Amino acid sequence: MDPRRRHLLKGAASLGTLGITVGAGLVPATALADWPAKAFGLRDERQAIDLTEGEARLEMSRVSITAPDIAENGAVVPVSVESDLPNVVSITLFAEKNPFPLNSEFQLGEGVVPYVSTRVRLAESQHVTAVAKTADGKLYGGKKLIKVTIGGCGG
Amino acid sequence: MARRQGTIRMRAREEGGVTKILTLINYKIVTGLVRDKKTKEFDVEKPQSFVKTVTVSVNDKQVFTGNLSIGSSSDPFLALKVKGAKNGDTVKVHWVDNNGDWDELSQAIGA
Repeated sequence: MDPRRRHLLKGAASLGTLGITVGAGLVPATALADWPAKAFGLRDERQAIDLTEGEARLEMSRVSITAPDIAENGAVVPVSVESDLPNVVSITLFAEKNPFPLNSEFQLGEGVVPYVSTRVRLAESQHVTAVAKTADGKLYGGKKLIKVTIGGCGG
Repeated sequence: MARRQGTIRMRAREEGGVTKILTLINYKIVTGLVRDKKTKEFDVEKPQSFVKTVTVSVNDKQVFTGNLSIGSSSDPFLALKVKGAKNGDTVKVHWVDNNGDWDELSQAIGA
């Protein structure tokens, strides 16, 4: 049996326990934005984008990614996403050649500038895609090729 | 399910009406994808461990949710910008991992 499946099952179980903590009032109720376990488990970037963003048309413009052209260490790659769009409600990062392409998803509330900076893990050289969703459901994307000298899948 | 103390470092600065919030969580992420060199099997002794959700609130109003995965680097770093907050407002950062461990930190802007 593939032990990874056990991890996924465990993940599902811990989601359940998270639900209990929320119920017990340890975590503020507003902190409960469901972690999309299904999307994070997908192996295909296109499917992951469809599942997280819906199948609306993705326009590759107005979102820019700032990241090094060459990352020496794939375990820590700084990535910043910025957009000039008004009313961005979420920014989602995809790494197409990672084992699980959906990397992270950020939901921006009122008054948050469409900007997010983080550090990701890249298994190999690949395009990183950022998708920004606006309040009216339109999708805009940006892409950047990042070359990785040492992959970051270990650890 | 335990709280881990003192894992969050935060810096919040207001400039020209926009507050930049930088947070760094001290957390070793384990992807669970490492294979044993001999058996080629996944190392079950190192089960997945990663920060699942980070939320940021300004004056108790939640403004930002980050759903992370094993694709984030160890010691996850996040930077965001918020409009309309001012010096002295309270920023709270809260994280929870896939095992239910968590921590939070409240700090004033400009502190």
